[in-house]
Amino acid sequence: MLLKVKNLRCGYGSLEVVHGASLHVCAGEIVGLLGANGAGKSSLLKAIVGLLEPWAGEVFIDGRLTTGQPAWRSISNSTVLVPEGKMIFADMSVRENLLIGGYHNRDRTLQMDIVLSRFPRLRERLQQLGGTLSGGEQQMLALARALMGRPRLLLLDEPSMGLAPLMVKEVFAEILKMKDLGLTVLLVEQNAIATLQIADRAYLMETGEITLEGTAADLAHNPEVKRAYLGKGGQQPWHQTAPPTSLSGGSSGKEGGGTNPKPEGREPKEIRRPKSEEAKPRPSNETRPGAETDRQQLSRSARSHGGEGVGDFGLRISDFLRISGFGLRIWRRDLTSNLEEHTAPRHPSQP
Amino acid sequence: MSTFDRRYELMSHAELEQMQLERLQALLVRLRRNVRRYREKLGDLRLDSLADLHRFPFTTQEDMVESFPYGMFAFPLREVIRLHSTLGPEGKPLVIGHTRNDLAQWGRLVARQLAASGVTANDVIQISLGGAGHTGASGYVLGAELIEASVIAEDPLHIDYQLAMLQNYRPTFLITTPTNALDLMRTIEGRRIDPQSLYLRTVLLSRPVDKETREQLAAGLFAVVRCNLGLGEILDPGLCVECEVGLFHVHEDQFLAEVCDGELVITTLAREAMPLLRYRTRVAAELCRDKCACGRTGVLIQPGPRLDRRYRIKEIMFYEAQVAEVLAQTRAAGHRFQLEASERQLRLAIEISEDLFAGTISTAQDPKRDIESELLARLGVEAEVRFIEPEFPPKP
Repeated sequence: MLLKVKNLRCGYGSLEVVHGASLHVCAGEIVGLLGANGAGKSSLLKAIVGLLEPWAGEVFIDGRLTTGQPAWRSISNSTVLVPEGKMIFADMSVRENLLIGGYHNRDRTLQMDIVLSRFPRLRERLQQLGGTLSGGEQQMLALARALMGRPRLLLLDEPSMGLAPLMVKEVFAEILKMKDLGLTVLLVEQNAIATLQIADRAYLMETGEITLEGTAADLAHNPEVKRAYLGKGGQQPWHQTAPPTSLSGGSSGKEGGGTNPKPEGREPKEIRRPKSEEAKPRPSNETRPGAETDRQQLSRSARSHGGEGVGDFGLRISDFLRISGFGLRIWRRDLTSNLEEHTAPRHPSQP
Repeated sequence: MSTFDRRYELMSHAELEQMQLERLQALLVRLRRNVRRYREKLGDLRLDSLADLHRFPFTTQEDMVESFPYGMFAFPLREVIRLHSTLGPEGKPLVIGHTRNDLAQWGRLVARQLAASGVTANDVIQISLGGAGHTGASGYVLGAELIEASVIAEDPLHIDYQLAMLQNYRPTFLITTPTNALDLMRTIEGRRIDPQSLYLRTVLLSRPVDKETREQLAAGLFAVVRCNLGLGEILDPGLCVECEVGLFHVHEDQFLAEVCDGELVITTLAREAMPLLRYRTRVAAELCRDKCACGRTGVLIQPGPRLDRRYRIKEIMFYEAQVAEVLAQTRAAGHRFQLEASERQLRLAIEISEDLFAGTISTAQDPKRDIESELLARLGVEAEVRFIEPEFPPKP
């Protein structure tokens, strides 16, 4: 076992975020850590490397207890964290970014050659400033920078975040190649479909607790995972559900997942959305463009609180109002439009 | 040694312990969220190491009876794709649900047993478990398909037909009950068929038998005899694997076995549809952590007798309460009786009274035949009824 975590608790201020998580990663494995926004995945990762001080529990890397050691020491355990949102140095060139990644490494120029042969596109842009790269290239740079440290254990925090579907595919293919290099990867992700395709095993985290452990294939077929993370739940099989009727300008046809037989191309935020919201068509006359920000906030908070409760409830009430004849017409329309705002999925074209 | 799931079967103890801890913690979270009975039972109990497990409450058969049929399910019934009904306390039925993953895992666990018994893709498997063993048979089919062995999809009831299949289809591997295996052996002996003329290599029995029976069968059928050990409420087959040495290893990546007051207690670590926490199995057992020559690391289990009064006659299991229920439908309702189960027959001694024969003109043969045929029809058990003097004569 390269990484072993036992009953780790951590949090921010007085708020406990991870309530005693245990996990392990064997050498040569890709292990996924799945979960919705705010489940505590990133905090767990930070606590493993020491960026966040654990409140309790133990972390063993290669059999050595590393709990509570400063984050900079983790590199000497051959552990490198690729943080969320890439965090490359935007004002430095690609070359400088890479050299910083191999700062402790004496033959870093040699290592840079090895790394660049894996990422030929970065070689073309060696002198370009990091901030001018595209999102996908920045993610590649972040991965390459991590490889400069010659890690054995790579901790990746949401490498697919903010990337176009095609780039997600490319980044994940790159991660899969790392396995062939003998690297061990702990992959924290919201993109369950893509993760379960490349991972050997996976953990599912919900509200600070790990609720499932198993092989990637087992998790992909778990009814709970299917419903909440793969968008395949409900009575209908996912490939038979009709895409929701698009209302305010076009591009939401992709959301239903009905038209796309290859699931890896979808964006993570769409995958997380509970099926119950998607499957029901929205009425067409009740969307107000001005209410977008409120709607966004509410749907986000609903999702971060474990998903579908608010959405289901809201839809049920609005359905009820729609079919039952009582109440003033105007009042009813007001209320239902409010509810729709709360429950409608966030539109991808909105900021 | 041949293994099917090498990674899990030969897992080091440290790794196994970590995995059990992780799975147990995740199980507790899921139980608390999805099963009301456990939510009430567990409260705020937390588990930081496997040693803490003794603080957690047991699950008993009574729990399962009270929440019958679907109260213990952790998933809505829509997600459960297989229901197994087993015999609960006093003959009450219990339902065990399986999701798709559960069935796939079941197949893998059975495949471990088959692989340990030497089954390969070249083998032809005949399964003769009879109607009562249908559930088990479906598990063997799942396992055999994973190994890609050929399975004869027929369960011949009659011994002649079984023998004909053994000769015609040339199965190399026979899965059957001990009773049936003995019948088969006697038939082969009686017909003076050379067992070596059959292609049988291994016989897998559905439950453990004593050493003499095993040797007798091995000689009579000219095959290696292996046994399966399972529990209807957990998995049967699929709880343990009998290794080449002849010892039972629990599949510890899936089941956590404890012994409390001599009773086997099992926690299902990865079952989805119906996870059980510290389930009291009503079976006596001993566990042993000795190193086994086969290399498997699962804890060794030595099964003992059942701790409740469950009878077994020709692989049909029943409780005294079920017999009383059948008797209640006959003339002997309310009469006291004594049970005695032999290998093939149920001996029933019913206390005689006047009203047993009241209104009948014929001899005492009639109620006796009534009761016997009723027992055969309802329980499938051949019975021999006799009437005895009441121990305490009724008060005048």
